[in-house]
Amino acid sequence: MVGQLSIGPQQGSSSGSKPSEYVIVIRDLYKTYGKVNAVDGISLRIRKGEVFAFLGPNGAGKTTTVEIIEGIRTPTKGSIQMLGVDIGRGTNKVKHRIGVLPQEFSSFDRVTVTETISFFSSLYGNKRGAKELMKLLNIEEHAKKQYQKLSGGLKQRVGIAVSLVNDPEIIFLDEPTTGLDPASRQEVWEVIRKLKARGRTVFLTTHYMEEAQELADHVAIINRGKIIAEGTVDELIENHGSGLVLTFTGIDGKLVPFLNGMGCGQVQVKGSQAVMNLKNKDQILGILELVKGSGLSYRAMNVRRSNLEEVFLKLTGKALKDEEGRQ
Amino acid sequence: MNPRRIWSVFLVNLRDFVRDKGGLFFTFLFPIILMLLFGFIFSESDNVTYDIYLQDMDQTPMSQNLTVSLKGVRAFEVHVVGPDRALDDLVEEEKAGFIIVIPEGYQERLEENLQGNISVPVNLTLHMDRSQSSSQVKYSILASVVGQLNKVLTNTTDVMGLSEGGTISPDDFEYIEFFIPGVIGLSVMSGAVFGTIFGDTELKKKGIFRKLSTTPITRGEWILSTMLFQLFLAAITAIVILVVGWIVFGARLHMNPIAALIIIFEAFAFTGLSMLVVRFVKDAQAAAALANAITFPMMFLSGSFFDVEAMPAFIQTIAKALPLYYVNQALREAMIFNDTISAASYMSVIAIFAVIVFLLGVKLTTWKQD
Repeated sequence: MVGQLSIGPQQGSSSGSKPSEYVIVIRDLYKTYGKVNAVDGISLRIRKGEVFAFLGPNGAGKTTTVEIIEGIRTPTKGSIQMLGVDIGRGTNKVKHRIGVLPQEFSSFDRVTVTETISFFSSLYGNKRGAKELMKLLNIEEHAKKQYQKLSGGLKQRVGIAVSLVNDPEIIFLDEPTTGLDPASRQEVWEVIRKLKARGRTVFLTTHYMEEAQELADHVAIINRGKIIAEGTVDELIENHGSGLVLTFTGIDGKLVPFLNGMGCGQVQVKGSQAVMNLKNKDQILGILELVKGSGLSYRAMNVRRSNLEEVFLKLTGKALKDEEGRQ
Repeated sequence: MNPRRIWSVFLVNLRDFVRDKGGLFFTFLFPIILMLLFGFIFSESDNVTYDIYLQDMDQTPMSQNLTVSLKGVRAFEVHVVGPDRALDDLVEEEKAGFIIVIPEGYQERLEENLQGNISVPVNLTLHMDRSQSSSQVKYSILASVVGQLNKVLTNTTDVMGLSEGGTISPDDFEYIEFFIPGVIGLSVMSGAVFGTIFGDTELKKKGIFRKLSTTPITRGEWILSTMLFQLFLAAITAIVILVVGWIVFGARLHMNPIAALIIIFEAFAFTGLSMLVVRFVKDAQAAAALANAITFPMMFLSGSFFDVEAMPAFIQTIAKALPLYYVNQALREAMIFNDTISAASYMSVIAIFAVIVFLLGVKLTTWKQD
């Protein structure tokens, strides 16, 4: 089934005639362990049909937050509405409508791929054939292999297949590509794109910036239990990124003072590279013109947009913290 | 409770189990090996003889007589040593643990005593290693031999005696028939405890519990299904043990409904108990330690191998606090004596225990993380 999905059974769960655009609404969520707030007042809204990427360094509170939403952990405080249902007292009412791939999930070692999918399917009372899912995840040829004999990438795809057995409206994937090789990662990404194309909402937890940039419509960055930035990838780069990045490689020693003399901003020197962060393309064209006229030499140059990685580093303040540490 | 989900869990457990050769070995082969070992060791016990050493310092016709009498005792293998052999040597070289010395002047003093001038009896000197468990048995046999000789020599008649007036138990049974219910009780217990504790720890580690908590299956369904699976393994274990016992040792035991019921409650009780305690376990090592901590004391203290009544009083008290004791007693009443009422009274303890741990399991265990 491709295309629009209705927003779940309309059993008077959504108020009034206006269907809720948001499938998950989190307000003021806290999770406290002793004196530590692992989740420190998080509020989030996730739209139907979007791929939402939840980013954060290790230990930032990502998995704790997701596991609260999935019903694996209980919050200390706060409210969560999922698919129009308040899940404060447990996720029983929505279990049939969500699919979860927990972090570091692995299945029964000696049970085959088909049997694994059928087992989880039967828990929902479904008879949805394992075949269809294996086809979607491109694992048909491994159907009769035992789980323990699969490669990491295949195991992860079985995990995703298992999270889809009930044809869920929202799919939670917690670090689905951690530890996978680039080819396997691409395959998982392809599956996520297919899910999006089928109108499903994907809640993706990751610490790979590239993954978020590649897949996400909407990103939230969590650090120390708090959301420190939220928006589309473009918005985040626009608001927190450093614009355009101009890099000269194989530079003449005099090039750096020359560039600094232009007053277009600080030049960072990384080995034989000079890197400048610039606001717009006119500045770049101007600089290139002047460098050309000066006769100073360099081997190559390139211009690129600032990326999420840089936004993340800037926001989570890792470099800044390191400097503080040294002072 | 949804029967289809319970069946699904049962089936997935079964598939995972039958493809695991190590698990199969420990579940089925281990009890058989245990039974064969004990069976062969103890079924030979009728022909046991005890080594004793005899040193005759008197070297007279009467001391020779005594030597002959002792040699006639079937339970003794008598090693006669010369009068000039040092006892220390004997202990050192022959590992002698029980030495009888006939003192010099034995005949002379014995004759005096027999003529009616009894002052003190002639004592045989005993040197025995008390750390050997057989020493006590040897001493008892020797004491009764000496008693008999006294009677013969003094020509007294018995005023009291023993006669066999028929056996007390309805059936005669041999050690192996006593032992087999013990092996069944022990195997069902360790199967349930190890299976559950290792299984649950692995599922926790793999994130399968976290996954299950996001699906519609309830904890009650999961617990019941796991208990049924352990019961299934227990039933097979019991049948295998009975068949091997019958084929190899010709052991004849009663297989009655009450025995089956006891095994059902036992499997439920120990699976439930393990599910309750496994939540405190973080990894496989801790799981192994915990499983051993549960099974090990019970294995030795609950009368699996030997009758609890033969143990010291304080151990008997401990035994009566252990669930496996009631299983063993109940199984023996049912399988050896075919005594349903007596078996049922022991079984009621384990049945109540099973119900309590199941209810506690449903109430206290959780898939949720903190």
